[in-house]
Amino acid sequence: MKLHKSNLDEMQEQKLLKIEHTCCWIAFGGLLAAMYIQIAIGNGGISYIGGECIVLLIMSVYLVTDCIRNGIWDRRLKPNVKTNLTLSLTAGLLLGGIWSIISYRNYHKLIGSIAIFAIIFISVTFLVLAVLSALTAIYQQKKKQLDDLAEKEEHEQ
Amino acid sequence: MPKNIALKLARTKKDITQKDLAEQIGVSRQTINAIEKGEYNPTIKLCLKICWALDASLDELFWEDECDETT
Repeated sequence: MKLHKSNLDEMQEQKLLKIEHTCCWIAFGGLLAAMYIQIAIGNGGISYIGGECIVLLIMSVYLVTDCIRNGIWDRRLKPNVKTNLTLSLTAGLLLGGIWSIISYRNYHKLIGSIAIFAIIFISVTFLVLAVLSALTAIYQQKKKQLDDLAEKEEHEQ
Repeated sequence: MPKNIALKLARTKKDITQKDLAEQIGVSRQTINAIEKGEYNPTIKLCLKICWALDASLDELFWEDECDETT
């Protein structure tokens, strides 16, 4: 049995890549949704969502490192301060909102929920902004490195 | 895949760098570099853009004899 030769032609190969791409994002979204549901029903401990956290972390780390290694950032978003700020504020609002709703549902304290929102919003926004800024700097450094390499090869060829 | 010497020659004949060509057709410099090195097989759309930018035909830049495919 020969395993090294692909059974697919060019077009089928492209289609398969597209299917795998969609599947990857379904898995990504599904994991996030599963974790959210677990947290929302009160099973937010590491014993409940630890597995999902590990898989999500591995997927995220692989995605980010391999994209940066190849000098790729995103299809549409530009790696700049404005985008990083928008993304971190969105993440802060989203997580702050989710946790404040959970807090209000569990304890029925409005002030407490607002405080939870403020704490989560500020900490997540700053954390995401710091991570995105660091990744942007690494990406720009890598892109420059790849451009320099291409220039060097252009003169050598 | 063999190196695309024809592309490099057409580009240098027009006196433009890989960076200039990349900017002109809206791709990254690494992509042009990879095509010239024979590391990336571009789509027909990208081939056409390169041909238009360099005022050359598909045959001139991308034609390969059948035996070249296996080398």
